[in-house]
Amino acid sequence: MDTESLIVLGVPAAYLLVALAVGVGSRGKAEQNTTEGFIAGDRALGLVVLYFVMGASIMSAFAFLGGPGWAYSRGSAAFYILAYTGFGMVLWYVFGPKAARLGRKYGYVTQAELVADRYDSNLLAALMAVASIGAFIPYTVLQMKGVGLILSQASGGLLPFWLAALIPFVVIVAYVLSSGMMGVGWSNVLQGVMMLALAWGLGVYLPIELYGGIGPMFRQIAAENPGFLVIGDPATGMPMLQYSSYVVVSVLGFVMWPHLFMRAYTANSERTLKRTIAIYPTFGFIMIPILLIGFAGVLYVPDLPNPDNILPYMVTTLELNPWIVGFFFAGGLAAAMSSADSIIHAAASVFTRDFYRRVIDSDASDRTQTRITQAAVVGVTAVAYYFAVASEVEIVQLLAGAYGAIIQFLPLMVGAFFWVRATREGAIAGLVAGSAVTVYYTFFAPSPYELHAGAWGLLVTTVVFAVGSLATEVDDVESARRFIRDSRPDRPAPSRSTDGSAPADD
Amino acid sequence: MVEETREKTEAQATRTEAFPSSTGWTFFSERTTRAQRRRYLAHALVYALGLSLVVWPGVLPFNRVEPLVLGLPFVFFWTAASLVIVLVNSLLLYRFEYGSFLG
Repeated sequence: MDTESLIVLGVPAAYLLVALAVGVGSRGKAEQNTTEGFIAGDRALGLVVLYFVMGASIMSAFAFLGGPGWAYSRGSAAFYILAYTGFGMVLWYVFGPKAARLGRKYGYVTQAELVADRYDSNLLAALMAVASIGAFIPYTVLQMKGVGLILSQASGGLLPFWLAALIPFVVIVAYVLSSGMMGVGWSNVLQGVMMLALAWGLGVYLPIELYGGIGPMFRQIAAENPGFLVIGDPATGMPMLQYSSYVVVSVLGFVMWPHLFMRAYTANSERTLKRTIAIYPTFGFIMIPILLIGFAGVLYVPDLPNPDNILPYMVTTLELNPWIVGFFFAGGLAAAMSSADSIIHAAASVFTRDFYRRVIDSDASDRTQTRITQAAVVGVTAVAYYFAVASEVEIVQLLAGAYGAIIQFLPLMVGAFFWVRATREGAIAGLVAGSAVTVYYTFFAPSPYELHAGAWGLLVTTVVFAVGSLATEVDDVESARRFIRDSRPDRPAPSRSTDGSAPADD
Repeated sequence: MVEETREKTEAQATRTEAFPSSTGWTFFSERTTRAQRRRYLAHALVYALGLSLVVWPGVLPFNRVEPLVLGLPFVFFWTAASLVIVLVNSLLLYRFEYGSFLG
C-alpha cells in the first residue's frame, strides 16, 4: 500500500476512532441506567449539542449522495430540498416546547407516548411504533449501504463490502450502548462540523476548479439546457404542482419524524429549544453547496448510470490531494453515521416505550426498560445489517410507505395540542385512513394531479379525524383540557413579565 | 385563607379557560393577551408568506435563471433567500418572547 492510499484510508479510520472516543467519552454526561437518561439525555442538552443533533440527524447519506444526485440529474427540482430544509423546523417552534413541558411533567421520552396519552390508547401507540420502526429499518439500511460503499472505496477494495458496512456500525453500537442520547449528541457535534466543512469546501471548490466559478458554471449549464434551471420545466422531470406539493408535504412532515420530534425532550430548557429552532436555518444553508456539487457534475460527467454516485465519482476521478479525498470519505461516513446513530437510538427507544411496554409487559421497571432499549439497539442494527448485506430483498420501498404513515401524525398532534373535542376513535380512524390513501397513491395508482401522495393522505386524515371526532364523544373532557393546559407555559417568561401576561404560546 | 383564594382562582381559571366555540378549538392560553396574539399571528403570516413565495403560484414571477445573483440562478437564489426570511422571522419571534436574540 503506497503512502497515498494510506492517507486516503487513514483519514476515515482516524475519524472513526475519534467518533468512538467522543461518543463513549460522553457517557458520564447523563445517567445511563434510566430511560430518561438513556433516551432523553436527562433532559439536559444545551444549544450546541441540540443544534448539531437536529442538523446532523437530518443530513444523512442522502444529503451527500441523493442531494447532489438530484441536482445532477434533475436540476432545479432539487431546490425543493433547500426549501423544505428552511421551513421544516418552523412547526417545531409550536410543538417542541409543548412536548418538552408535557415530557417534564409526565415523563414522556417518545412521540407516541404523548399522542397515546392524550387519546388514551395503547393501540395508537403501537400503530405509531410500527410505522416508525417500519421507516427506521430501511432508513438504517440505506445508511449502511452508504458507509459500506464509502469505506470499501476508501480502502481501494481492500475492505470487502460486508466488513466496510460493519465497522462504522460497530462504532455506533458501541457509543450508543455506552452513552445513549449523550453519545448520539456529542458524536453528532463532531459529525456536523465535519459535514459543514466538507460541504462548503467541495461546493465552492468544484465549480471553481471545473468551470472557473459558480456564475460561469450556471451560465454554461443554462446555455446547454435552459430549462434545467427552471422549476417545473420538463427538463427537470418534475411539474410545478408536484414540486410545490413536495415542498409543502415535506415541510409539514419534517418534525413528525419520531427521531427528530423526540429530541424536544432532550433540551435542557424551553429557551434552548427555541434558540435551536431560531438559528436552525443557518445549518440548512448547507444544502446550497451540496446542490452546487451536483450541478458541477452536469457538464463534466455525462450520463452517470446512478446519479447518486456523482460526488464519489468526481472526488475519485479528479486526482485531488489524497488528504482531501480522505477527508471526503470521512465526511461521507460522518453524514451517514450521524443519521444512523440517531435513528437506531430512536428505533430502540420507540420499540421499548411504545411497543414492548404497551403490548408485552406493562409492568417492566425503568431499569428493565433501559436494558431492553440497549438490547434493541443491537437488535435493530442486526436486522438492518441483514437487509443491507445478506438479504436480496429490497426494503427501501418500505421507507416511502412508512414515511407516508408518519406524515399522518401531524393532524393528531394538532388535535392533541389545540382541540379538546378530538377523540381516540377519530384519531385512529384518521391515521389508518390517511396512511392507506398515501400508500395507495405511492405504490398502486398514480397520484391525482401528480401531487405528493402524502398530500392526499393528509387531506383524508384531517377530514376523517375531524368528522370522526365530532361523531364520537370525548371520554374525559377534563383530562383533555388538563393536557392542553399542561402543554402551555405556567408562568410568564422572565423578560416579558412586565405586562403580567403569559408568553410564548401560539 | 390563602389556600382558599388560590383554589378559587384555579377554579376560575378552569372555568374561563378559553374554549369559546362549541367546536372546542383553543389556539391560545387565556393568559396570552390580545396584543401578543396579534404578534404571534403576524409571525405565522410571515412564515406562510415566505413559504407561498417558493411554491406555486407565488414562485412563478421569480422562476427564472437571469439575473444570476451571487453566481446562482435567480430562482435558486430566491429559494435560498427564503431561508433568510425564516431565520430573521424566527429570531424576531425569539426576541419578542425572551427580550434578546441570544440571551
